[in-house]
Amino acid sequence: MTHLARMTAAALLAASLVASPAVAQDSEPVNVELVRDRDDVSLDPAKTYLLVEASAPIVSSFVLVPGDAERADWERQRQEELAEAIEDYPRDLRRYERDLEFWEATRRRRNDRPSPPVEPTEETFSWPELESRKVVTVGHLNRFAKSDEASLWLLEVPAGEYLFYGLGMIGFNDCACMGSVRFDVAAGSVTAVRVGYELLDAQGNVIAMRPEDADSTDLATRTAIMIGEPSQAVFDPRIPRERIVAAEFAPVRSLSNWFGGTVNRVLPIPGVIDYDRDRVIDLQAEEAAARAAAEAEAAMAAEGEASADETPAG
Amino acid sequence: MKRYLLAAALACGSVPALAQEADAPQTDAEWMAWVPSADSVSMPELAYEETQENIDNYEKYYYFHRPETDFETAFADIRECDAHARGLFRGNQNVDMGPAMIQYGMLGGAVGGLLGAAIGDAIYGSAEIRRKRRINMRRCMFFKGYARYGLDEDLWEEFNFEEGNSSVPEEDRQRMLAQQALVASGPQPTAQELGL
Repeated sequence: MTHLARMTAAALLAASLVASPAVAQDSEPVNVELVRDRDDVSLDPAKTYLLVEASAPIVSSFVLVPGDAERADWERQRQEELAEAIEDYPRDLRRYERDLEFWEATRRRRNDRPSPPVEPTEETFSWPELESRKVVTVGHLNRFAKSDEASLWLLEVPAGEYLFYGLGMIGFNDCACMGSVRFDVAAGSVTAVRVGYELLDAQGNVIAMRPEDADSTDLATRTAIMIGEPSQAVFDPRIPRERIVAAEFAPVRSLSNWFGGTVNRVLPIPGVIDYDRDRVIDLQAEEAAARAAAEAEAAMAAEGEASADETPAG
Repeated sequence: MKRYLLAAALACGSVPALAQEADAPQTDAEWMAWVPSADSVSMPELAYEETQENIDNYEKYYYFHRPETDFETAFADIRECDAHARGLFRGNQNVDMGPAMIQYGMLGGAVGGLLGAAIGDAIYGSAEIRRKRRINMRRCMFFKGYARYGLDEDLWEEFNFEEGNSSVPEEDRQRMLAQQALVASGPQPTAQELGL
């Protein structure tokens, strides 16, 4: 089996393979406050804000990246629960064996055949990703500003690094699972992003108009999601202009599909992210690497010339 | 009825029996990790006389193909897209931040995806679930550079499945994904590409 096949095979999972923890996990939700659409808005200079722009009222989701201390605590919880599950397993196994005996001996069976408990190991023990508890959902209601051109949402958020998770609601969402971006929301800033849907043609190119002959599955499939720099629409007079900063993006290779939505990926962003098939290309890193290579070559060439000058003739 | 026919077709050897192999998969986990050799997977029939009815149904019945792709790569790709479609896929790394990222077990942690998928499935009926699978498979395979070609419904049913409110047994799923991978890595189709 190739490494690729083995990795993919190992990454797959069915519900029957999961050993679940007995208790719910303990994590802090993200503390978010909506700023409502009022004339007398006054932003706290000490607070941090996320400003989301879209051309229509849509739902968008972001993930606050957890800090080291929180990750360490989450990992501690996981290990404690795993240890407990390992302790409980022999008893669970015995109980299953008794149930199975009973079931096999019974003529009129009301229930399905009992399933064996999954032995908890590092591989099988299911534990949610901490990021899945750090989702900030924006919209579609409670817009800060609305016009024909743009909808704005303004939220007071913790400063930190955010991932763009996708658009839509549970069951209906498009997850940027196969390529996304992250960006910093600096303390005291009003960090602005623009998000939206785009239509694609059969070749995956962005188009402006809905094609007349497309059926509903085609339309749903040929929908892209975008995130990018905001437009002038974010300069709402109620927000001090000097506090508004456009988000600066860096690529994210993949995200898990926590809410059972449809998989997608963000459209390419010049200078930030592009794709070679399903491989995410970090354009900034590539450019930096190319620059470094060019500088190294130039330095070597200069060295070569210098030592040629020093070599005595003859 | 159709699933019955599929099961009968499988039993009759449209996919070769593995009884003679000592390490034939038994559990779901083993089926998920099973990678047969390409020549042990039977190639489905793809030729038919195209009718207008066929064309009208190409949004539902199709297969994927990518030139210069070997069977193992195609199988890994199709499995990955199937996992996305099932809500089971965990990215290898959520954020490419190096040592700050704690890796959970490879298999553990997907429960969030299952839960979300379960919520979604509880709200929507079979038709919507089937539609979501099509969207996921079409997008994911498109991103990976595979082209899509239409197929006659009866031929399609020999090696494809639809999700509904009842799940496909893992063995059936993996056998059919293997056949889909064989097609995806096989001869270049002469039919017209349908696109994303």
